Amino acid sequence: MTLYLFQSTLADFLRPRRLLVWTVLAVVLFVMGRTIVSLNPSSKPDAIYLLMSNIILYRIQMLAAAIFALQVIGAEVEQKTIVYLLTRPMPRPQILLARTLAAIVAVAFISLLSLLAVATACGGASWSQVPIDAAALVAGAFAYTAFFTLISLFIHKAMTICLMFAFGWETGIPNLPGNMFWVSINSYLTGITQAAKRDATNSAISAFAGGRSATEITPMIGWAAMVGFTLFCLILGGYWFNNNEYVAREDAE
Amino acid sequence: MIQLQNASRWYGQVMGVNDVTCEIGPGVTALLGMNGAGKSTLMRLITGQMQPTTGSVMVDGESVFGNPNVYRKLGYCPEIDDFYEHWSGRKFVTHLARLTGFSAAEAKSRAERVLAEVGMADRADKKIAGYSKGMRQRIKLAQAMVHDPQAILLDEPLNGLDPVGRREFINLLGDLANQGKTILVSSHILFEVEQMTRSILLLNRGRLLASGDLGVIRELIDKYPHRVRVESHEPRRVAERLVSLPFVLKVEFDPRGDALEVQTREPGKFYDFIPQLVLDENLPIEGFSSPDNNLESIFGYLVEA
Repeated sequence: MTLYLFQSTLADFLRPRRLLVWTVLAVVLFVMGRTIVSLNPSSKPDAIYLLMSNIILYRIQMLAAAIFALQVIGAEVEQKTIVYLLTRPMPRPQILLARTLAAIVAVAFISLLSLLAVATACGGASWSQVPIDAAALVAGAFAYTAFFTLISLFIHKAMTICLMFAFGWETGIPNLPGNMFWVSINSYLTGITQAAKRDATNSAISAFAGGRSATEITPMIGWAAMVGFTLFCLILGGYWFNNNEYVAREDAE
Repeated sequence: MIQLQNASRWYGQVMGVNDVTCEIGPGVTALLGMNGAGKSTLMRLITGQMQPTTGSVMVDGESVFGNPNVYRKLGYCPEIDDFYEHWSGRKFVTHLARLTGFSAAEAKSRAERVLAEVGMADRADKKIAGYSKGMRQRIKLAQAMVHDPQAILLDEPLNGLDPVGRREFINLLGDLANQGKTILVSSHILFEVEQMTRSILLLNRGRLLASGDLGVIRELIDKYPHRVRVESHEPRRVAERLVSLPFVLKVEFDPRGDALEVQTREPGKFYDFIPQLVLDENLPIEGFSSPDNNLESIFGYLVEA
């Protein structure tokens, strides 16, 4: 049942109509990359790749994670179809796990699609950095999707909170004075890719992307933190979902 | 099969269900109550979507909330009219059969069978978004029946069905009850309920007001004068004749002058006598109706009782 629910949810998340939007976005990234490369003949393509991957790819991933995470349970409650899931003989944590994993795979797929578009546009040496960026994006897909799913279990209509986290917290916190970068997911992802070290210029734009923290978070710490954080979100989410009610409120009599 | 013991459910300061104790066994039982009486809350408690604030809700001796063992025994047809609209009815029913644990082949065959039972076999490949209200009700019933549960709970299932559809639906429920299944149907329309069963649970403002045979309710109704509105363009002539009948207690004229309200203790006799008055005595009666044949009146009686 769990495998079936995972497969059917993934098929729904990646149905052609939905995928079209993300494919168009990947094409836009490709065109953007080609345009920047052609307008800056003096810049190295791998520097442009770094810039785009640091700034754009993780933001796209956060956006995708927020959208898909809210489809896991939040949208089912909103559309009132949750009743069909919750009245089937399947333990609630399994329902959550199957649907969350489907969302993670969807987010990872979209992230990698965007990464490929950027790498193809920049070409050259940037391909050597793709594997580690791909690994970090997969880690990010797990962490962001699990976290946003957890938020959606706590809060009704959680999209605003998720987007504020993605584009406010994750952008600002890593660059605040002191050690605040330790409480940002993006810091660990940039730690995994060691993007700041690769970016020799260590520019302000790089700092915007959370580059500063990556000098202090090693890949080992980055991986450990992402695995631990994802497991924490999944376990807490499973517990919460198992013990709380998810009913379309408008119908309550 | 289903036992509620002092079950109450609060939504903050608002009471959904208040101290309900009852048992529901095989056959059709109707859960009768006006909108807002707590029928859907009770359904949600029994289907384990909600937990009682106090008391207990059990199915076959097992607590319901989050209990997959119980969900195997229950089929639920919710009142909501929401689906995965881009799916076909067949895909929807098959999907929910798969989530009940059947293999792909078994789920497909069960879906086929149940779609035929609810009269949707030939229309099940269309997208649900294009379904009429009646078709949506049938698909909801199909998903509730697909795993052959021991108990089926239907929340306002006749909403949106045409008369033929209603008749078919009621017959289907009767067949299921004859197979020994426990059927709980909620409704706010007494007339509908009377066509389905004699066994009722009467809910008002979250409280179980009465339970048992519908006849008990009917008897209670008959203790009180029954009102009948009689329409006529000659109300004085009709009133003169009606007051002479031994079972008529009182006659009042409508201020508009085109009707009168009669009170009787024997509505059966009164209704039998009306055609005779029209045919034999040519009394100008153009129509009649009873404001007492609704749940509101019944609740009024029961609260007073």
